[in-house]
Amino acid sequence: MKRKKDIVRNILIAAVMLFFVYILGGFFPTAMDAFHTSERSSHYGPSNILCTVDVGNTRHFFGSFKQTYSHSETRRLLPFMWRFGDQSLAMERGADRPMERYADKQRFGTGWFGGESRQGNFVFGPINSPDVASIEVKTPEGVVLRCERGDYILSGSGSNGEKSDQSDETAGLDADSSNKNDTEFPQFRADDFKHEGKIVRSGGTDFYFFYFESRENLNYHQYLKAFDEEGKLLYQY
Amino acid sequence: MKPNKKNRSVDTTLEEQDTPLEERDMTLEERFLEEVLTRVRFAYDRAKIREELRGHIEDRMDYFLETGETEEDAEAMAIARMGNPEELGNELNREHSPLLGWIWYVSQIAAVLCVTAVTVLYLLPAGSGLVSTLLSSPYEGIDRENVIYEREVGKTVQIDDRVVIIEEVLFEQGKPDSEAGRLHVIWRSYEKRLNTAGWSFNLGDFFDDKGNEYYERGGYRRAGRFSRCRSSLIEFPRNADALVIDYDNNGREFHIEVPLEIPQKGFAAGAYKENGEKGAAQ
Repeated sequence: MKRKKDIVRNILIAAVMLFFVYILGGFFPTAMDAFHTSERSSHYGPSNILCTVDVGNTRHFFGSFKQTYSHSETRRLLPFMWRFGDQSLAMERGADRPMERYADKQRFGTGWFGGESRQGNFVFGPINSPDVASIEVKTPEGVVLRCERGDYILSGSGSNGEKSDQSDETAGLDADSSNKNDTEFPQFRADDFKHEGKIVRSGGTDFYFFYFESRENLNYHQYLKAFDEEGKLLYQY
Repeated sequence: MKPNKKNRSVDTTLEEQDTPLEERDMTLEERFLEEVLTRVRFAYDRAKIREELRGHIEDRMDYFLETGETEEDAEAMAIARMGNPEELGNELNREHSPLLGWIWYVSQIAAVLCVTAVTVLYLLPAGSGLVSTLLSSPYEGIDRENVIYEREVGKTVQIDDRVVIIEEVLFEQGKPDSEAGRLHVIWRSYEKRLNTAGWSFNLGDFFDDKGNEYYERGGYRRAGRFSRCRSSLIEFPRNADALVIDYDNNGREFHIEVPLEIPQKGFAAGAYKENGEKGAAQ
């Protein structure tokens, strides 16, 4: 009986201590809780979440709030133990330009012990001009990703060194696609890596979003372009 | 009932024939204890049970020794009174269930680890931060001799979970003949939510009653759940009628007006020191 009482006591002590860890360590049970608290603590938002992406143990939230947009990180230490990380808030939409660009990258390892080191790249922003019909981004390895406005056009990843269907389709749309295989790192097969693109509408504004993985320490992308319906270049970064 | 010495010696002799050589050197008590303890599957408790049983046997041996028995007989009688070692062992095994035992053992370790981790990683740093906050002061760096006036404010505003309290303002004159100086705004803030994670906070924009904006330089910040701060505004006119603090960011706003005490004309910092009272004229 004493042993049972001891077990109850020990479990209570451990629970109280874990509660302290949560409170004092700034942990949250879910990434969403961490994200909302991060925004609230910055006296910003609540944002309309446009897109989330997981890179290693980090979940990235891309959102819009009033006339601004944002990127916030949340980091997982253990299951049910999330903290918030860096954030870029209140980025103005800049209505006088056809579109805005926010780019960031994050290194991460694959597998339990790190393994291959990769880089997750984000290119994200609002589309201000109604003339923009499609957006293209060229990854550091030369793969061209393309989104048509209003459509989710590209998703998934290739494997085994074969190019994904989506990549083949977009290759024909890209003037520079003939150089696709002539990358800075020819031995590297970008198709093994995940790449996604989408356009999301929020509060009457379209936001484009690209995520693609690449080898570590490469630039965010080779270019970002916006075209009108006739294929005329409107914006290039 | 006294055990039969003759039977005991026969039993012992028969037992010894099947007993390994190392066990033959064991005393009767040790053999009894071994027989009991081999039935207790939760090994972690065996040492404790052994001590407890040994205590009982020795108490009984003492009793029989006092009644005049020899040591050998007293031991045999004490052990006989302990009962059948097999039954006793089975009974103890039920009481010291391995499953419950291991749960208890792991829970003990978990509790100790949790307490240690929380103390080392969180409570000590938090306590140290709290002491540091209590010992330091936002008034550090203000030359009290040059303070022309100070005024308690005591206004509280809340943005999201953060409560901000403007405590007081002090005007510190630079040069004795200067019409401007530094206006120090002493304020503190804390978060109402339980979780301590959060970002730092800037009080807002500062204006005088005429709408001129002023900027902070060389203030004081104390990070943490409860923070005390000083916003020091440079080139603030000594004859301003009011300080206005405006916060308007991301849909949150507050507006605080602090009437200021205007020092009499011709006042100089030196006079304050000599006269020993606030606002005294030269």
